[in-house]
Amino acid sequence: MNFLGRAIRYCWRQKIRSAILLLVFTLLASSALIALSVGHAVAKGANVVKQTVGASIRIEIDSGNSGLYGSGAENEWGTAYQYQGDYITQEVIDAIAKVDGVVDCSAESEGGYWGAGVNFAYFTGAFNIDFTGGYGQSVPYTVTLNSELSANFLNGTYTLEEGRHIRPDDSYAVLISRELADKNGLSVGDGITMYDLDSDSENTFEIVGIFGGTEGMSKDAMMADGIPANQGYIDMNSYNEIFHREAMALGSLDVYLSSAENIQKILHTIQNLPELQGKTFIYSTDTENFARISHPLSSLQAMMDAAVIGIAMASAAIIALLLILWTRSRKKEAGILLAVGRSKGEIVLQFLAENILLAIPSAAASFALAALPAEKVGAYLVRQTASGVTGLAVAIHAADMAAVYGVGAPVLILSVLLSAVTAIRWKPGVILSQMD
Amino acid sequence: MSILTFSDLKYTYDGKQNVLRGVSGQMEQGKLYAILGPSGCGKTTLLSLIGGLDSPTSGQIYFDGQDIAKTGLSDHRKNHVAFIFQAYNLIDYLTPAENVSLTSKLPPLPILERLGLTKEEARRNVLKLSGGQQQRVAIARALASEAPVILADEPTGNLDEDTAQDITDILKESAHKMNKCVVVVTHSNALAKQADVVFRLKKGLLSLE
Repeated sequence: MNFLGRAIRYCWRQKIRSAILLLVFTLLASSALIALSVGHAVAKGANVVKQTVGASIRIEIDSGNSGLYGSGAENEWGTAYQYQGDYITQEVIDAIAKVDGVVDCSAESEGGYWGAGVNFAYFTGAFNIDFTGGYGQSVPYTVTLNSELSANFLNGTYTLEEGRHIRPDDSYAVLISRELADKNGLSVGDGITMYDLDSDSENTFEIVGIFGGTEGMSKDAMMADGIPANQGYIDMNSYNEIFHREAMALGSLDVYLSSAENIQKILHTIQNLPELQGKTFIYSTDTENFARISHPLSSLQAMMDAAVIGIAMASAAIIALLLILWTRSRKKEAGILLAVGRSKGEIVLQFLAENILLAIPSAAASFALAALPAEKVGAYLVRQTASGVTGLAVAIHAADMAAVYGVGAPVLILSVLLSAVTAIRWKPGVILSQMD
Repeated sequence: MSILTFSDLKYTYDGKQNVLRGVSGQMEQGKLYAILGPSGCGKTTLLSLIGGLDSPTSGQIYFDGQDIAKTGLSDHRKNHVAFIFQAYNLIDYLTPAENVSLTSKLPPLPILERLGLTKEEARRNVLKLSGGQQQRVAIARALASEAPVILADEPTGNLDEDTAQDITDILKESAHKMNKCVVVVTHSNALAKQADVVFRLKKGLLSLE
């Protein structure tokens, strides 16, 4: 009978030992697979965050500089000063957009437009005071060049559920919340008309997108404008038109970069663009979004890396310990096999074959066992450590399995060799006399 | 012609105790040898040395004229000798038939049946057999190996009188009918009386009786 025959019989007949080893192998491999797949998903997520958030540079007009307001003009209330410095124009935006490392540009003005519903209704607050002379309460809209880059969408508070985001070339486009859409039976493509008190005009916007995320937010505001579900986004072009601005003239611009690492270099490049040189702009850098989103991910990734290393080391220790304990108890068997002329190499091969016979079904079982929990564990860990991150897909890939089983196999082989030494290092006569 | 020759074998235990102090002897096929001696005199050690389970501190062992230290102890154990131990030393997760298959590629059932085990007993776990049955399995394993030398260490030590005689008969038959060189280490004078040659090991030295 060769070593494989003995290994098969041993595994089959020593059922408790085999079951324990099978369980240990499966649990260790599953843990490693889960940690590795979550780690990879987090790394991928961090990469996405880097690409989409990176960092930003804010360019603002120098509105606080009194030297840019001229000598003033007298009117019925006194002296009125008008800002005479430079504005951020389309030419400036186009030049910045071409700079290497710039992902996108966006400008937004929170509450830049206040609209009262003409053909739709808002959620009402505790008080319904009408300041619009019959149109009902006004609600603030964020005026944006690119709603995808708005902080609430970047940090995952809001998610676009239907339609698309507002783009720089949009005109009379609006994003509304899922709750407001449901309340009024509105969908993408429908038009909503709003009255703006400042411009004293009714304007009809096409709903280009519906976002979710306001669900569960308070509706117990004093006024309708304090309820997040009422608030939305409109495009920059319609805003300029409503307020009779002939050309794009922004007070501020957010420039999003692919990486926070090169922010100073890119800032320097932007400041030296011919279109911006000599302009009265103030520059500031912001890596807060990136840090806020990427730091927990980095921490989680480090945690997962440590977990993988920890699991690998613990696995090696546990497997080696178990095998040493069990193999020591098989010293007599080793002595008998040596006495009947079997070589030490054949005995080691038998021990190895027994463990491989158990490791193979363990590999399959660990995949099955890890597949479902990996996603749940990943989601749980992300929820606990990086609540701003959404949509992190945790799945066990072939590479994860190859890594776990690739590291597991030498660990197993080394453990078997280590444990076999305890059984076969003596001469058979010594082993058998000790056993007797 | 002697198949097994050993000369001036010395064995020191733990570097202090001289268990064997220059043991020499020759053994032939077709004979049953008994080695008698008090407990702790080195009988089992001598058997281990001539069986290649251990190496002597000094001295040579020749099988068919070849020094086993040079041809290799593992090869000697595999091809030249077969052991029967007092404690049977069967592998406990194998059946009797599978234990016999460890030393032979021949079907194990005929030899087990010849030694008195039924087919059903041959497929049981060895630990579920009686002591006598386990010793028969150990003998079957030794005989199945086709090794010319059988080394038996107190083969009847744990057995009742009737079973011990059965085992002795099998060993005699192995020597006389199967032309084996059977070497038995024993306390039993009854067994020794039935041997063709009796050695006595005393104070580390071997003498013929």
